[in-house]
Formats: sequence, C-alpha cells, structure tokens
Amino acid sequence: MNEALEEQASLYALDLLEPSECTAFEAALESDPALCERVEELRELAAKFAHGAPWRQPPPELETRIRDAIRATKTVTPMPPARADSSMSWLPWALAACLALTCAFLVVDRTQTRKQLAKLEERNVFAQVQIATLASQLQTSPGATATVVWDSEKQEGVLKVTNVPPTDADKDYQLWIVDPEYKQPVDAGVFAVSNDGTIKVPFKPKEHIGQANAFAVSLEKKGGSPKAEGPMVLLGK
Amino acid sequence: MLVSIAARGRSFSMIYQILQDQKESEDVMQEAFVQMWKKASTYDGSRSALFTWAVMISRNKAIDRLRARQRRSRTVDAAAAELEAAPPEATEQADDALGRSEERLRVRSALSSLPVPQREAIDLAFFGGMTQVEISARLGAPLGTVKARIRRGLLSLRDALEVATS
Repeated sequence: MNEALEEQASLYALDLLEPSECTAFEAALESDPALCERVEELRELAAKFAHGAPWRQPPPELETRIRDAIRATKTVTPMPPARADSSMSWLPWALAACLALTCAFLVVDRTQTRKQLAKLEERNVFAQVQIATLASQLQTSPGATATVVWDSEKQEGVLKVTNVPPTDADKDYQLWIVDPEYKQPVDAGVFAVSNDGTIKVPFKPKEHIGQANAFAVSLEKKGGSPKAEGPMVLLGK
Repeated sequence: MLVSIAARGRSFSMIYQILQDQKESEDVMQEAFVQMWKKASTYDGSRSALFTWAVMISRNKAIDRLRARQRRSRTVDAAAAELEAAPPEATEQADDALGRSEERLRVRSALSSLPVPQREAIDLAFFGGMTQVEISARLGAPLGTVKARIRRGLLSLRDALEVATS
C-alpha cells in the first residue's frame, strides 16, 4: 500500500477526512478488501488511545440510569411458541452486555484494597458475559446474521436475529449451544422470525452450559427437535 | 466468534477526558450505551474487536457533544494538563480488578514510547475532536506534516505493541 493511501486510511480511522475526501475514500473502500482490512487495523490502533485517558470513576447510580434508559427503548418481540422454559426471567440482551460493560468501571473504586480487588477477580463477574456473532450458512441468504449475548452465570441469554428468511408454517428455527461436555449441541429453544426477518428473543438452554464454544441455529420441524437434524442456518464460534 | 466483553471500563474515562465535565460525561455515557443496544445487531466481530466498537461509539458521542458546546479549546487544554498529571496508581488498581492490567500496561507503555509530536497530533484528534486544519493551527505545523505525524503515530503504536508482545 502506498504512503498516500495509508495516510488517507489513518485519517479516516480517526474521522479526520474532510467530507469530500471521506466520500471518495469510502468509495475506494467498497472495492478494495485489503484497504478495508487496513482501515480496521488502524481503527483498532486508534481506539487504543482510549487507554491514555486517566481513570475516572463514574457514580454508582449511572448504572441504574443506563438500565432504565435501555428498558425505555427496548421493543420486546413476543416470545414465539418454544420449547424453552417460558418462565425464565427476561434478560434484556444488551442490558447484559451493558451491565458487564458498566460493571467493569462501576464496581471498582480506586480506594478499594487489594483484598477487595482479589475478591472481585475471584467472582470473575466481568468474564461471565460473552457475545457471539453468528454468520449465515445459507447460500440463499448470505446477509442473515445474529448476535448472541450469553450470561454463563445466569445461564440465560438473548438472541437477536437479522435478515433471516421466515420459515414455512411447519418449521421453526432452533438455537443450539455447543459445549464440549455434551456429545450433542444443547437445545436452547425454538423461535420464528417476523416478516422482516428479525427477532430478539431470550433463551435458556435445556442443560447447564459450562463452556459455550459456539452457537448455531438450524431449521427444524415445528416445535423443535431433541437434537439438531435440519440444515444449519447460522453459526458463530 | 465468541468475545468476552470483560474489562471494557475505559469508556467513561475516555468520555470524561474528552468532555472534562462530570454531568455531561454521564449523559454521554448513557447515550452511548443506548446506542450500543440499538446497534448491537450491526456489530461484526469478524471485522473489529468489541473494545474498538464500544470505544468508537462512545468517542463519537462525546465528540458530538464537545462540538455542540463549542468549548473545544478550553477542554483540550485541560485534557492535556490532566494527561500530564494523571496518577498512574488509580488506573492500575481499576484495571487490576478488571484483569486487564497487563494489557493496559502494554498499551500505555507503547503509547508513551511514541514520539511526542505524533502522540500530540493523535491526542488532539482523538480526545479533542479537532479537524486536520485545527490540529495544524494548534501545533503550528503544516497540514502535510500533521497528516504524516498521524500516520506515523499509528504505525509507531503498532510497532511498539508488536515489540511489547514479542
């Protein structure tokens, strides 16, 4: 990559291109995967400058405010008929993510003793939430995608699906969690997407998940299958 | 790809560094998280790290707020002063609790190894939300020089991180 282009990419990564330059650069990005990759690398580097900011403790009540704000924006899609436990507590998936994010700085007080910090590490509260991005396995719907937020401590998660084609009336999509402890992927419930191909739905697996190595969605008979039999639709690992 | 979202506690500190105002920082933090919630389905783990995604959303919100209130000059000066005077201990304790101490130290060490003119130019862009022209004016350096410093600064950071890793 020549220096001039790399310079443009660097400026783009820091949102420094003028509007006209930006338009031209984004046009170039669309046809140049190598350039895209370079921009991502530069953005990752730019983001690291955040580490240069001195630590600042936010007030504890900010977490509550964020929770409330997210609750106020959420649009809950009715849970479709599913074999998953419908009595489970609803875990707003982004709340889980946000909670983990906010906890990371809300629970830590700079005056805490090393002992208290060690306790926090033992609880490992920050490591309990994972995000998986599931990619399409469908040639007919390459744009299908999903995001899973999984809270291993609560054994609950939320699945958010986009651009997945609606199923026939006699079919359901079924979510699976791959845990090496089990020979077969663990059933995490069935769901149906709305007409626009989206859904946001909480789930709770049938078995205890010790290690979620991957998440998958398959197309199964109505009501779901005890083990995955239908074609794979989405996979994230 | 599974990504643990542990230890993403830099956002508030970064937002405060940009805005230098507690109340506004809290408001922006809230806005940023709500936006993450709304845009979560667009997050592509194969393209960027969750840290980068979260940081950039938070930064953009903070920069928008900064520009809106047009107090850039004063806050950047204050930010620069605070960067110089930052007590490292507080950061270390917080990040230790997050299990991120090693990574943080590695990055901060790499950042501190950057030549001052390069670090300065990128700080003004990243925390100050300045344009190329504004950075040029602030530093009294030609525009071409500023662009080159920014490019070299990012590449220097990459090299420094690679050295720290090896």
